[in-house]
Amino acid sequence: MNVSFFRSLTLFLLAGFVAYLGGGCRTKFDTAVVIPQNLKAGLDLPGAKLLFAQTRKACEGVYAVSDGSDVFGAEIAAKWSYTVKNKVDTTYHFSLFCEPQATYFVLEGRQVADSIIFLGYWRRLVNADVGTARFVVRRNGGARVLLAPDCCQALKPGDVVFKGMYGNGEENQKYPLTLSFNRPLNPKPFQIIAHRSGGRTSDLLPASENSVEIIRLAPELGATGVEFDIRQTKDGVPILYHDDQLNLRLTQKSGLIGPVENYTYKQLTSLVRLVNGEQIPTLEEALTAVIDDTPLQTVWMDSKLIRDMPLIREIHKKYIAKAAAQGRKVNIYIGLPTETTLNQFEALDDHLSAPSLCELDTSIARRINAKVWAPRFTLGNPVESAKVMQAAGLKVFVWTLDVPDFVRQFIDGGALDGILTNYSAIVAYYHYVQKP
Amino acid sequence: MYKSPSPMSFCRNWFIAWLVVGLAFSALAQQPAPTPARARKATAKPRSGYKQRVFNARAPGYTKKGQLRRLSPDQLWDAQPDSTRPNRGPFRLLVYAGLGASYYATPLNSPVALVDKQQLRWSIPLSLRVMWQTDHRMRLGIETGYVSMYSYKGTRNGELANVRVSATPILAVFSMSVVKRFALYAGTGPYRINSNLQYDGDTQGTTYSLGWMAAGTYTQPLGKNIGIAAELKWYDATQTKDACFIAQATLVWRALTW
Amino acid sequence: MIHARLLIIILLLLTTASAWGQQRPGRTKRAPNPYRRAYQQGRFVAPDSTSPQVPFVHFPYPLARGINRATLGVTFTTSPRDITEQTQIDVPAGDLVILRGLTKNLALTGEMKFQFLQNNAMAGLRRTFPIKGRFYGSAGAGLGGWFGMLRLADFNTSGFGFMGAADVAVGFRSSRDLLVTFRLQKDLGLLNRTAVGQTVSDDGRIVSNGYGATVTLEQAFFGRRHAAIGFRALYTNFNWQFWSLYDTFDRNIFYPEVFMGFFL
Repeated sequence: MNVSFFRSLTLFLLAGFVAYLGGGCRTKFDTAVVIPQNLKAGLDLPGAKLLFAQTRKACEGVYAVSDGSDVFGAEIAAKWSYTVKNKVDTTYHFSLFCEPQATYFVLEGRQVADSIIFLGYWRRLVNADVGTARFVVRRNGGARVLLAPDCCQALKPGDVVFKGMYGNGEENQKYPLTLSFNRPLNPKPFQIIAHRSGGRTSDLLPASENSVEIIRLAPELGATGVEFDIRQTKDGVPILYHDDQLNLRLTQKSGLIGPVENYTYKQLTSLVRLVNGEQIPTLEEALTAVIDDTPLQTVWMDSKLIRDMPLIREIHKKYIAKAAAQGRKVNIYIGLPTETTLNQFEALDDHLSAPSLCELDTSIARRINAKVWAPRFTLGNPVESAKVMQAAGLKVFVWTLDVPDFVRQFIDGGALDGILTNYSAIVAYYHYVQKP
Repeated sequence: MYKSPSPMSFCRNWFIAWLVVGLAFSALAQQPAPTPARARKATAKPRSGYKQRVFNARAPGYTKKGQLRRLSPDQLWDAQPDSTRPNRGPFRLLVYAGLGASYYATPLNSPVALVDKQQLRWSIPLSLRVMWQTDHRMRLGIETGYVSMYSYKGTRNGELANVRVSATPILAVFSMSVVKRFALYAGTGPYRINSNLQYDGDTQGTTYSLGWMAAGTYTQPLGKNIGIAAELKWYDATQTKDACFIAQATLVWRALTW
Repeated sequence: MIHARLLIIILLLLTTASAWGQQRPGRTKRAPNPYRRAYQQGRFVAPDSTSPQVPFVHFPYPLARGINRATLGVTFTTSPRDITEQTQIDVPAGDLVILRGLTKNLALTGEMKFQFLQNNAMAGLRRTFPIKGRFYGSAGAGLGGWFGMLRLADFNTSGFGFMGAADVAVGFRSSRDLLVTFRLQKDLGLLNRTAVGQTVSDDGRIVSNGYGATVTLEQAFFGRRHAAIGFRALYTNFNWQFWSLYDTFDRNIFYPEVFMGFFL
């Protein structure tokens, strides 16, 4: 027979196989980026003390970057957040937001003698780059001012200097990074709403999307609010889950497949785990985490597939009351993305008084007395419509905006009250560094 | 914020793409049919003292005098790429029915700890394949069947949980005879994955997972139109990360010849 | 149940066809040699042992000056789950590939992929050289661009960009005029500009987008028609077909492509 043809065919198949192998051997982007561990040990020095609330507050601001600006940009925004574990154990995180490649730092601080030290990690959200960082604010570099009992009067540029070093991966911190206080953060109220409770699984975060764990992580990534996706199990329990099906994108292999709506809550909670090992949370668990464990101010409950809107409304009311009872300012909105959910919502007796977020037309948002109108970003920056809606007392959030150029321009447009994003760090940077 | 997907559309498009490519590939890989010149040479008695000249289509197209070589119709026939020839065949339709043993070959760890956990990776798969045997070496066909991928059971919260996952491939398959009686198969397409959960009730689930298959057979003829083959096969449903190795006996039936 | 019914119908059809097939009707009478008429009309071909008789656009073989070759077909690209997640958007693109001989070893190359709402075109030059025996090689480079527009429902977006590519190819011509080409390419992004409404995002950096490997077969097809089919493995950070998804990942993503073209 024709030998050369089969040689060619073999070549073809071989090339296909090589391509397949190439696909298999390339850098794996399906597991969470490993955040450097054991950083806390470096903070637990003899005599180390937690920072005072006023010291923490005074550290917040926009800093000019001198050493390291080629890697982290010319300016960074620094903001504190906290997470509560087991209702008592509060950890404060000092997050730095940078412009290039959605980079952020998460640090913890201690007072050691007359200096302040910060230790933590940095990560780029757009890829898998990660590393550690360490900063010291010395007595004459601003620590004296920050640690003073009457801290703090308005700081002037250069009053506080963070002398730091950073490293790539687990390697030692050998590159200098110096931050110098420039100005306070942009004080304008603005909601940075993290998509899928904090971020997508595909961004390789250490917690799975739509889990309680990522809600706790959201503030240190820069979020002031979260959006999560609600579905109901076969027995009606509202849960957080995005996709139409149980799949390997979101869950570990369990043998359970098909729509989550086909399974009871007991089945899901007993046999299914999200990709990073967490349980699929109920709506109530998620709202509890927001209120009890984080400083988040906005919750956008996106109604993916709801059968029992009155039940969702009951939970909604319960947690609005809970937040108020705890003195927490949390706005919880029922998100209405489709005509179907809108009809379900309008069937509620008290829908006009229920805080809702409408993704549909402006006229519908006004008809149902929504508190927020949320258009898709792909229509452009809705400056004119936003002004009209704001004049009618509604807030305007845009979804889901990740491209840095667009984020910057939408914020600079000044018409929005919030942005839903997968990259809270980017939105945080552009919002906080904006000069009022 | 994504709109409802259509899980089948992905599989369908892949299937169509593969079918188009397969048909093309199949049609492209032609086997030379006997040409009139060669046929005559084989049957005609050689004349003494006359050497029949068989034109070599690869010879230079010019005569020694530098003139364009005029070719006879038969020589033209020889010179043309073979798939442009009008006489084709024979074509056959082959039906393969197989039964054997399968072993689930990808990691299997239930995400939660079960008490008295038992898992089963073995099963008895069935397969049915219809191949179009063309007048060249590539064959094209479709394959389906049933294989129980795996099952596991154990006690969770004092109640027995039993999970079974099976697959029905719906594959476009190419095959090529490598040496006599030995053929290789490769295919792609969607796998319909079914799951059954017995725990807090009985729940079924279905999804489609794009994947591929590879197989090799050795066929022993039993009669004019029937044979039996030993077959080794690999099924891989990549989107659900389900793969199994299969060894089976396959009945081959030459159902149609034209 | 519909599957069971389908299976029964298929089995019945097979059995009927089989019964008919077992009769082994006489072979169809061989058609008369189609070249006899051509010969009688005074037309004949003069095969050249050095040049392939199958037309080519991918195969790295010299094309005589002024000769044009073109294929028209489709390219199927799998939408990557990294960006599309559970949503799958698989729209085949029309694919026009052209080749024009400029000098003995230099040819103008062109490729246009079109989906109407978004399109891509590249033009370049390639130089061919024989390697040994039936092996040939080429090196080429090209410049191109893409543009897309999505103005419906919730979308008011548009974009365009420029890109460059360099490639090397090795071709093998089998004794039966099957042309096999293996091509490696390097893609560069020169500019990308996208807009949502009045808001524009501009990236004028020259970046390495990624690389790709292609295997192409060019051969005779049914009748007198010739065809090219191939498989391309692209591993790139930007794919013009998915610009409207605004992928923000700084990582290369695998895009398998299958394409098929018929010679015009």
